[in-house]
Amino acid sequence: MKLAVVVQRYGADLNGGAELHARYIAERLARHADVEVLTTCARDYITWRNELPPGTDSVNGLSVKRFKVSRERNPSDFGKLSQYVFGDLHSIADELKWLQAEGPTSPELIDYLLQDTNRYDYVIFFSYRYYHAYHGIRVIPQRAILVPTAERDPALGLAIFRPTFRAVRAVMYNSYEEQSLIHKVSENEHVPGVVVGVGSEVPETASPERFRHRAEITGDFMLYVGRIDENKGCAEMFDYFQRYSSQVSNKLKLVLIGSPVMNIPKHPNIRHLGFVTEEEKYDAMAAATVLLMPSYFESLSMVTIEAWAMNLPVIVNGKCDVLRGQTIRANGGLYYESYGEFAESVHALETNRDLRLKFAGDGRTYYEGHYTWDVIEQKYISMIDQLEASPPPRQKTISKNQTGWFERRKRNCSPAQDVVNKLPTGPVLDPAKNTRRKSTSNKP
Amino acid sequence: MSEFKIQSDNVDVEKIMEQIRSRIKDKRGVDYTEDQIKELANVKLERFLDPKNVRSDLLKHYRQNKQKDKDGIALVRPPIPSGTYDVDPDVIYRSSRGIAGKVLYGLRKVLKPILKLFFNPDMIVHILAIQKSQIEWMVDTHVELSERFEKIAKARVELDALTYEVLNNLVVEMTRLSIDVKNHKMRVESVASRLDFDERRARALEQVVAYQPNARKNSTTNADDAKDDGGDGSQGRKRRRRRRGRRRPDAPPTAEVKEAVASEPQATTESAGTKNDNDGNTVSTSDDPSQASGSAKSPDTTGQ
Repeated sequence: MKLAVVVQRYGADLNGGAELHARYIAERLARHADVEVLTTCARDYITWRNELPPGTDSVNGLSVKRFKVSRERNPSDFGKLSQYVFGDLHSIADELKWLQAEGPTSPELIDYLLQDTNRYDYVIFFSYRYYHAYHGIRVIPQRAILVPTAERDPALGLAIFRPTFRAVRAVMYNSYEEQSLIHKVSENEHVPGVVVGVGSEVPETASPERFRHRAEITGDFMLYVGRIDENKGCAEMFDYFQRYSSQVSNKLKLVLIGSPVMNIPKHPNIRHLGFVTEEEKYDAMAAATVLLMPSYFESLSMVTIEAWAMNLPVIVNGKCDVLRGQTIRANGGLYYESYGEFAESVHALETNRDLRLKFAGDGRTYYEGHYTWDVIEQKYISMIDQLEASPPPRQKTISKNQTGWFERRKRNCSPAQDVVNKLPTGPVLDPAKNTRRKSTSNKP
Repeated sequence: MSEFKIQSDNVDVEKIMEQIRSRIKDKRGVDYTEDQIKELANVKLERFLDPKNVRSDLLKHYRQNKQKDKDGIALVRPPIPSGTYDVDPDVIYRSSRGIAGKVLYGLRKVLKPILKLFFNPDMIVHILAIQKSQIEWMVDTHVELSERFEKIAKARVELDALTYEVLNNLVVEMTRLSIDVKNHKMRVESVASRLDFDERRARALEQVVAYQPNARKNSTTNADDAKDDGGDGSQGRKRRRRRRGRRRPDAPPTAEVKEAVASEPQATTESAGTKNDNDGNTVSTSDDPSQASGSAKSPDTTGQ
């Protein structure tokens, strides 16, 4: 069987969420099938500038075909168009302009797929919102499997993507919350889909003593792993932690791992270690009391899954439906939506060892049941087997422009933000029924 | 902050979160998010504010008025008359009909003396000149006033935006403060009841301390007896401790106490001297060791 993985960027040193996800999946599926990666020459997701040479390359033993991006992104134009299609009544033509402006515009990649539509048995597209996925799926919908990596952002409300979700052969979701959002926005319940996510492999030999000795850290500490960024909820995390230190307990420390893009407050209990190796990261997880995940928007938090794999309970931002839902389903930690809940949750886990152990154990069980690589690989293989067993549905080819010339220019598309605001909120508490509970808070 | 009492074999995230929320609610009354406060400020002000003083639909009306202002503020400037009208003494005799006009103009000039027999055309020209200058002045004034009005209107729109923001923030803050006041009242009541309880407890403990030597003597004897019996001295103390009923400070001493005081006058004096030494023991009789030690710290989650 020959599979293709199509993703906007690809490389061993690219650590973006979807790109890393795509690489992991490609490398794992290569054990079961002949896998080729189709991607662009871009490295920077802001400009999509061609930085890597076009042609065939090899990354970790996998064949990678790179195609040139025909035009770089103009952030100013893209910003204006985004503002317009997200906030105003607009037309399909406007949305197509937005897609073009977003990039990475690589007609060569689409032409390559079009040249021989039988070249691959199945083509796995990552990230629904980019040019390659939109146009690629239109070229070979009968062979397309989509990994949407969708979040609750306004792009999900754009009308052009609804046929995409309905046209593919299968959808591999990252979480039940994502599945629920996409079902609601596109009514694609008939498309075979499964909640998969991404696997995690943790070392058996992580050493807390090694970490404490190397980092010279004693006592209990909360761990944050990831980019230190306001968009990741770090400003709120620092505020809450400093208040907790001054009002409740100053014994607990906060250890940060990752590159900063915001100022880290100077506080005796906050320690920033910068970028560390994988071994050091897992050592830190083994030594930590609890993992803190303050992000508002996550389609899947790999760090949280790794924490559970390392027997570490978590405290997550309850305003992120995905994190909250995962934590509840895993029974692997607590969540907060205000400082009061943060203080109580942290204090509960800091002082109650039994509680920590119980959450850690349940988190590990959840990881073993859902996020080991064997489970993930099996879900992909089962889905492909299911698609093989059932003939592709007879469907019309999807027009890349969606509708006729006049229809395309009618300003009858609702603002994307309004569409997203109407989608259900809250975690999915019963995945079997895929029912959501109404969230108690609004998004920021 | 007091500890969670959780049985480790029955841990459920949602139940713990409910427990956390109820603890927060107990501490700070009602837990409102920022969005809820804004919603309350917009809709249900009458629940928190005096409706006689502050209109609950203040913001709504303000928005409506603001929209009306915005609609009415677009100024349409009247067109300024075009063309120049030079008023000279011959203006009423001229004609614009080309060569024929020139002939006509000459004819009128010739007949001017006859015309003057009927009325004074110079006066008409003079009045026209005055009117012209007056109209020019009015147009200039109108233009200047229009410009000034536009500037004022523009400044007012900006000022209105600021006023609206200030007013909006004030109303939100008032709501927040009202909620805070309500919560603080609840906390004051809670603190007052605790204080009352502590005072009563302190009085009760003072009574215990006043007669401690006698009790201590007995306890030592009992402990010795217990040791002699091969038992633990602490068990003897435990047996001896019993809760005393609350006694009013001004209540008369019982007959037993009177007898003890009368028989051992020095012991009472001694007990006063050893009172401080026994403080630790007396405090440890509290039902709630965490309160007695005073070491537990409670987070002030109301300050957010």
